[in-house]
Amino acid sequence: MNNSDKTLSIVLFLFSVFMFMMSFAIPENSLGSGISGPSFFPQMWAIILASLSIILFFKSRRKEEKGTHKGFLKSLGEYKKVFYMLIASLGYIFMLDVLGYLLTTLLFLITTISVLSSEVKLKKTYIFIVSSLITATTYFIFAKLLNVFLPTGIIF
Amino acid sequence: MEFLWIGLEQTFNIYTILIIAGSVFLGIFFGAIPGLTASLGIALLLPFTFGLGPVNGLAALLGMYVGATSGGMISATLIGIPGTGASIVTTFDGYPMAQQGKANHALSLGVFASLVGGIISMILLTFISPLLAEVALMFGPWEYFALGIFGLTIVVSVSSENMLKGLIAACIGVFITMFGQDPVVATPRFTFGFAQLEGGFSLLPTLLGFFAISRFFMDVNSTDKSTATIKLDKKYNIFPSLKIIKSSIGNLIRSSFIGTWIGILPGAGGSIASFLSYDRARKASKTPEKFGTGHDEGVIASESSNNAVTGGALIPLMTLGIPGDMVTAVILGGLLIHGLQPGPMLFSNNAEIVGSIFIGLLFATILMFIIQSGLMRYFARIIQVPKHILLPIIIVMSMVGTFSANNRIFDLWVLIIFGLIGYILILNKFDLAPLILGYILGPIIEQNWRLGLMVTGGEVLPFVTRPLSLLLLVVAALSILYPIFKKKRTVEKQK
Repeated sequence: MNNSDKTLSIVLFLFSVFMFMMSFAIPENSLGSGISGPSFFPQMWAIILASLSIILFFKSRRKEEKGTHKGFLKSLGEYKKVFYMLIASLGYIFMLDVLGYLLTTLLFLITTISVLSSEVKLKKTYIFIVSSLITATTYFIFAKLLNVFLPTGIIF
Repeated sequence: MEFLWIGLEQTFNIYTILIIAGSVFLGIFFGAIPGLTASLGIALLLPFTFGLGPVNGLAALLGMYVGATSGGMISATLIGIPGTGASIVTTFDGYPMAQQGKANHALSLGVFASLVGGIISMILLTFISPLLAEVALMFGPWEYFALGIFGLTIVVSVSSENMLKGLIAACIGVFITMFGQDPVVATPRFTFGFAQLEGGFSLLPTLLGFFAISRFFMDVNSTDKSTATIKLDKKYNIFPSLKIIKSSIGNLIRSSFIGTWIGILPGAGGSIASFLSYDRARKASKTPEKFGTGHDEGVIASESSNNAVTGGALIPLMTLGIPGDMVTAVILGGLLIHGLQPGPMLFSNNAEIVGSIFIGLLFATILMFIIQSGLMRYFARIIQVPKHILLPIIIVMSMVGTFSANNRIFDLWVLIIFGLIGYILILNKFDLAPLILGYILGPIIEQNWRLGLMVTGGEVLPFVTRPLSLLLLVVAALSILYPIFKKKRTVEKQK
């Protein structure tokens, strides 16, 4: 993990430098300028975050040798499911406006439950029934019981 | 104490009681399942309390809080895995008891201790908070600024194992609040030309992203594992025998006081409270050697103190408007969503809300006792709900909840991106509690700093010359510097 600490500290450092520079674009206000103005805090926190990430960078470099090296493929396999889930969630947001709540949720549940239970080997009909039940129940609770506005989509 | 009557009037109706009962039930469910926490439950429930109005909405959040805090003991006892952090200590004695075939005994003791702890802390809350609110009326922006810094540093020093990473997490949390309009004069900051960013990153996608979505990504690889649970026998005693109650009165009261006190202190939560009370109970016990082998006193100490935290944690939240831990940070969000600004003014402006929070907490505690006593056998089975079904439901709930607040698809993107950032941070052993506190306290710190400067015409000195402000800032600095100093000394000693 130390290696990724290093990467993370570089990302954080670049982020804070970027934010520090962007903070000069914040318009000054007549009600407060300088240390009581709207750009003071972003700059302060950017400096603090930048310094902390420098400390993290040097700390992680010192411990570097201790880190265990996993095979690249093995660690990639560990994140495979996370990646699928990420794609599924992004797909869910994309489709929500098009297909509406009912259909999108049903599709989302079928995909995610199948991926997550890949090692247990559930029956396809079981997954379908469970997903439809959950979709129907949540729809009833959200839309009818709690009066939450749900996206209806273009098609329906 | 007049506000208690008003609160009783507001909450004592079948509708509110049903809402509390329902959310307590959900809370126990969240508490009992390892990986689902009280803060996640409250964050998920938050968007659905919009339509309920402030009294019922807050009652629902409190019910969730009380239920989840207590529900953690079910899995702690039956599978030896704490359902929430607060019930870690319950595994020490609860699990051995269950292995000896006394699962029901352990659970009924725990439920009873939870009841006592909850009620004692609610009584303390009622007495302490109006007094503290009166003191807090004298606070100016200088004190609030110092309080914000104090709260943030204490959380960092107490809750994270690696303080550097805790500080970085807190900074990231504060940075999230820098987007959008600034809290004093509403100057747009860092909008990069996006109109959506003018409102900043709102509460729900931030909370649910870092709690629910990141949790989901973390748990994705552990969905296939299931653990064997210990079966319950049929006999369940609602009240422990008089003999046990008599012999443990001291333990119950002591642990409840410890729990309430720890709840008041910023940063420390249920897990620290139960560790402390467990330790105290062992030192005071006539049979300290029995602790850890399935001893009644251990379960009682742990469960009464972690439930007493609930009342204690509400004290700084309601009187100062400063949340002391992650759960109260989320509840603060709940208050804000209903248009209520917690703080000393709440007591004079919204006495009915204050009263109904107190009474609601009491009802939630009593209902928690009734529901758990009556339905324990069913809760014991809930633990086995497979994760591969549970996780997708949580995602759908987070999405719908986030969307329903503003009806903006933009918030959903924020939700997933924050979830991903949270996941990366957790993988790198960052603690997310300081991040959430940073998100909540950041605007409070900035607002009061700038208000303080405006009052004095740009003079910085009052921040360090006003005694209480100075004291808080000194303690804040010490809480960061002392651990560093201590570590250096131990390193030098080893040489």
